[in-house]
Amino acid sequence: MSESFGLFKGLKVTFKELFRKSVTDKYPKEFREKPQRFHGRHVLNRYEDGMEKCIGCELCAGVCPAQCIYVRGEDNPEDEPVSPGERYGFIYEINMLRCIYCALCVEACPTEAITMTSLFEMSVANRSEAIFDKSVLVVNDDGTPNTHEEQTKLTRFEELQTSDGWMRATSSNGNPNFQNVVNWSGSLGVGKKDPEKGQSLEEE
Amino acid sequence: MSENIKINVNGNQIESTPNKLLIEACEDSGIHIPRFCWHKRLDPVGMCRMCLVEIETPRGKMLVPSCTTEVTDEMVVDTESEVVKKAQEGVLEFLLINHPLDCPICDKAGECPLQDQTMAYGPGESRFVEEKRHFEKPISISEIILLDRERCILCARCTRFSDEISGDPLIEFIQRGNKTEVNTFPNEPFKSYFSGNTVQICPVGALTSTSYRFKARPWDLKSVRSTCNGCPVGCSTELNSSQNKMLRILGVDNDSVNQGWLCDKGRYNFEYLNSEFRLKNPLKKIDNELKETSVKEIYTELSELISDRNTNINFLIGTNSTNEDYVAFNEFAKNFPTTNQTFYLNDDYLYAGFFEQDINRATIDDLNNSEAIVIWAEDLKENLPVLYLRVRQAVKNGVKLIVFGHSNSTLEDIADFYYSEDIVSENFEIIKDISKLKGIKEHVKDKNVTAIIGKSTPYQLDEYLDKLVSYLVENSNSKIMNAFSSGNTFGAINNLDNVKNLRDFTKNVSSENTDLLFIVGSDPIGRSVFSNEIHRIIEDIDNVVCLDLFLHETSELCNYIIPTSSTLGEKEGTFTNIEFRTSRIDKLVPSPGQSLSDWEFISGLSNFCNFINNIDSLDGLNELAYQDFDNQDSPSFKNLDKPSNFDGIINDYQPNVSTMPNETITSQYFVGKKLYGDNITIRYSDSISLLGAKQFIEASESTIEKLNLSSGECTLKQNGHQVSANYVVNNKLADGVIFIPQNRRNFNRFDFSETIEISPNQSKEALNVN
Amino acid sequence: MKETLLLTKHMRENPEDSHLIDSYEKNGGYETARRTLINGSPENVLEEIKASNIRGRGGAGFPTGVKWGFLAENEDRYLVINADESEPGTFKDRILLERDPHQLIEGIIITCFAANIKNAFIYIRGEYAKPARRVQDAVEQAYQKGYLGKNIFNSEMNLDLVVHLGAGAYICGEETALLNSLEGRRGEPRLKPPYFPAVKGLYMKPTLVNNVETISSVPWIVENTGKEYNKLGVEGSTGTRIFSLSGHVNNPGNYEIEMGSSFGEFVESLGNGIRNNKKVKAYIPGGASAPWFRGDQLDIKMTIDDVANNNSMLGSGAVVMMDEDTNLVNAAKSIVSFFAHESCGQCTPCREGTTWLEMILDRVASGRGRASDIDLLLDVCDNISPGLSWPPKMTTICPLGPSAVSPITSLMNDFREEVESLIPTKVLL
Repeated sequence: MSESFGLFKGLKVTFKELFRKSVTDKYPKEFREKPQRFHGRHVLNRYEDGMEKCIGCELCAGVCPAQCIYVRGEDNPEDEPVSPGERYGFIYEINMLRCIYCALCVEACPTEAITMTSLFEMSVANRSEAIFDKSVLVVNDDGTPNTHEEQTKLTRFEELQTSDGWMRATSSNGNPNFQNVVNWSGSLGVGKKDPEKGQSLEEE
Repeated sequence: MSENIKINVNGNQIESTPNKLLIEACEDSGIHIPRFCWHKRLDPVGMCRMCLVEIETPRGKMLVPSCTTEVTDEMVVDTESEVVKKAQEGVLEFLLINHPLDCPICDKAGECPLQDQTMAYGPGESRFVEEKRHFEKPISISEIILLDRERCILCARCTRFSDEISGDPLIEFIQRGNKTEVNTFPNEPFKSYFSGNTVQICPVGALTSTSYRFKARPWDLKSVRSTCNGCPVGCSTELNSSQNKMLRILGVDNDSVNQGWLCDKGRYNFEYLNSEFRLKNPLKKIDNELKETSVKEIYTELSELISDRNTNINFLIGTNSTNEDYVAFNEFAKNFPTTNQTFYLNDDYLYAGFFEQDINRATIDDLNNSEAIVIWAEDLKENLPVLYLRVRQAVKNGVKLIVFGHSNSTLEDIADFYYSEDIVSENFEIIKDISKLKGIKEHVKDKNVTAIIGKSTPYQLDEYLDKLVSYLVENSNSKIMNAFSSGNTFGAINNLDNVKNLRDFTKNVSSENTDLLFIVGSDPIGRSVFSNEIHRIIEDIDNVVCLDLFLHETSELCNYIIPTSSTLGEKEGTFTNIEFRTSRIDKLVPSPGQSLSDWEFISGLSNFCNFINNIDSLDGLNELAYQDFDNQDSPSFKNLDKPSNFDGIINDYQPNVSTMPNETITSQYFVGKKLYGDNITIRYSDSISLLGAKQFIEASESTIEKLNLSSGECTLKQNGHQVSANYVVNNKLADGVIFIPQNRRNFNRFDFSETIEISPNQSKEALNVN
Repeated sequence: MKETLLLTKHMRENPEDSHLIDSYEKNGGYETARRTLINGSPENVLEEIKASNIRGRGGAGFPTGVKWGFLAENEDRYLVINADESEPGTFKDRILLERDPHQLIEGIIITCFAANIKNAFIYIRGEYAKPARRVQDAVEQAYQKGYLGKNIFNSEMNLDLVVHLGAGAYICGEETALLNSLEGRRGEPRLKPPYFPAVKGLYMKPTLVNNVETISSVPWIVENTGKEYNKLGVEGSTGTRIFSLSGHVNNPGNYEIEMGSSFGEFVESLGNGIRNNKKVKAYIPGGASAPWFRGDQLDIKMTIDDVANNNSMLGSGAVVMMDEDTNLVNAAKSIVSFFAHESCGQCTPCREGTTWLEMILDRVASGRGRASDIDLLLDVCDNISPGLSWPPKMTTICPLGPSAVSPITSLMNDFREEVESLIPTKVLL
């Protein structure tokens, strides 16, 4: 065995990789498609009638491992209710600098009020802006997401439109026949979502 | 005492005493049986059926409710058998089929026995698919209590509490079967002084209080154990806060004091802590205007006044401070050996004769262990509410009750003997022939007696009380408790060397003998019956320093105002209650702005003037306060922080109180206090502020007729001072007696020894005068 | 088969005016009481009652003599007549109150004499307006004659009798709930222990609670001796009994017969058979709370013990016949609805369970049932009455909850196919 053969042997991997298509993206010029269950920035959803889904129950704040959510509930004003029921989220703040995007808040939410989107490139000018409050988190009346950031090269607000897929142990549409059947639903925007295909009893 | 018996629970031998309920016997041995309706302090009803256990009987194993079954010797019990588990699952499923499961918005969620027991004993899921039972969501059954009947599991704890314990059964079950609901009677709100307790013992979120509604969830609450300083009973409390805001007060089951109960004032009078009107910075009066300043500037100006140690200083001391605060003032006063310092206590009910006679002091528990209770004191229900509950409890256990005076007319229903005369001043001649009274002859003479003695009204003469006390001391095996209405009075008396009462203040203090007056946490102008005199005196004195939470009638007149920390949850210390039991007061939330504790201010001033005192640490003050006691009995922080002493330590203090001999001061009216008054703290506690704002007088129907009142409202007029008020019919008052509450706005400006003109209120103008 | 008339003799013979005191006295009324009070002794009366072996006619069938013996000693003792007859199918007390109230009053006088009681109460069901009026009138007549009040029949004995009308609650037929109601509280059963009426009854004093029919039998027993009474009927179920026959029979009504014949015989002869000559599908032997018997069990004897041996109870003597056309699920549903409506609301299993059972049965009966509903029904029943055995075990204070269970267990044990046929096989989504 000559020594030069050893050199070629060593470079074999190099040459092989030289002609393979690159795996790196030209970020930020190009963006990679994100997986369906990607955990990005939160939104607070509304019902079709414009009512906020959040009832201020603080379960998200209680379950948050980073303790980045601060919620206070209040009595719903009778003549102009904010959410259905007695209580609504009076203060809702998430400190995005602390958030670890674990989505435990989404799982804990009893009304599907808080869900996650695919947007994760957020930028703020100072720390206090990183605390997102209701004016940012709650979706608009038409169900479109809200933001207080300026459009930059990095932020792609259309990613706020793509919601994460997530699952619940029980049916989201309240049909008791769906007990114990895993049921997927998209979550962003207004209204209750139909279960995804392949999960209803009808098709079994 | 009967001998212990042995029972067999789940194969283990446990010991118990006869006649004990099975659920209690198991609890004592660490075996938890789930329950909803059973409560240690209430009679068992066996309604929820959650505590079913199997016992062996001659007819085989039987399911019985452990809350109504008494233990018997050799009883064999199974609390974990399959049958029991099935029954528990069944009951929980039944309870949940009509429970709304709105846990996410329920105030109880997180500390809810129904949640906890469903997790521990319940079925995994419900098989109920029909529509649940519906009621109107929370209805308000009083100003401070909300009722959600959908959540109610009909355990009857609240109805039993108000019937058995507080004695005002204003809520009851109505309808039957599946439609049963708890409700009030039509047009009769749940107007009880103890309604907050029903919220605390409710095992679900059916009863909630307006002050805590949606404020926080249990898992983000911080809590400490403390002592309520609202009245001298000194109930054990648990303070809850979230985000540094006091949000809730709960009663702690202190067997020898409050047994878990609190009055509504003690429970809900905390919102003022978060009030925007709290003083945050020191104020100084410049050209009759209060301007913000710094503590240092106040120290500088005061030190000029006092550093030569030759100043005449007097103190007008409130009863809301801790024992450590009082020690600090006492030590501070020792720096002026050449002048005479006196501590005048802001308590117009202080009865000093109590300390002059040779008596056995009573504890609250003695009420239960005596043959008779003698009461001649201010209205227990209005002023010492939890003591009133303990008296009720003792009477229920068969103790005879003898009541003097119409101040305690609320006890008339349960009293065996009730003596009152048709005179207003409560200075009863019958006391002179006391041995001839039937109740005294039969139940007091040579018996074990517990007496609650105190002034029923500020105008009561000591000599009559002295008569009763000396009769009891001489003729019965008596223990006596001194009743008075303000908080830490005994702590002040114990720790201050020269205490006098408020009436002495009006006689002794003037600008001539006082260069500097400290007013500590009190509003005598707004609250006491000597309002006018004190107003004059304070105005005259050149330098008045006030330590308080708010600006009020008294503090407005002062030259220097120091914002202080509230004794409720903002500072540490100790509190001495009506039976000389000292217990811990603890800190939970920070005080606003530059607030200082009383002792911090005075020790700062002392240091600033280069006085040498040992008052610059709380622990030091605490040691000073209890230096005379044996190490073991001393209620020092070190001892009180041991779990076995959480309920407080009773000590045999010998206080040094002297008040002036009684001269004849009489009142034409029966003056007293109501639970809710127009105090500055209640005024700024939103949920209860309205309860203390109503202006009213009370009289019997015939008295009202004599006054020609008809429209429901009247005007009280005297020397140009005029107050309009409602009148309330109280037929328990004797003929001719008119009750005037002194702790309502402007009422205490009247001179009660002179006639007040009471006329019907017809014109609109008259209503708007005040 | 013939009737044996002891209690109903007077009303049968004087159909027009049997409720009036004149008519009653004309036929020898109040004579027994008069003789007993003047010449007799309480011990003798008690002996006679014990010798008669009469068992309580209210439903539980507890020996009356023994019950009287249990009454604790006290200065104040009370007698309460339970006339809150609300068991569906039962209407025997009604005729005794409405048509022969003086017989009851005479029985009360003798009972109070025997038990040394000075205050008695008749608690009449709220819906019984006419019987209550009749009894009230009769009591007033008796007072006028001096048969009630002070020194009755010029003897030493004093007795006050109060008629109290309930407010319409089945549960007040339960003796402790009745006492609560009589005291002015909510009609809810008390805990036993410790509140046994014989020790801590009305106003926490020893109290005797007896059924109308039981006390109405007392004058006959004392007049004709307990030994004679004991000869009637069979051992364990002595004397006559008024059975209320209803349902799909040709001649429904009250029949007073000696106990011991079979249900079949009773229905055929006195009831004149089932209407339209249909067959019996099922029948209830002793009121709505008793488990049912099948149509092929008509040879069971009408005695307390024989019925009990066949896992049901003779109860209050209400026999309800259901012919082959009956929809038994609906029948069970209406019985369960009744109990759900009448539950007092104290115990969780009864309050929630009975209503739930009603909902499930309603679903099944209207064809919206699910395959799991049969198991669900049985399991809910099991949570109210563990084991579903007879006599029932209870998770409740009183037997009302388990009473609602018995028609369902009967249905499931004997007529399961009928229930299954109502449940659609296809699962609806």
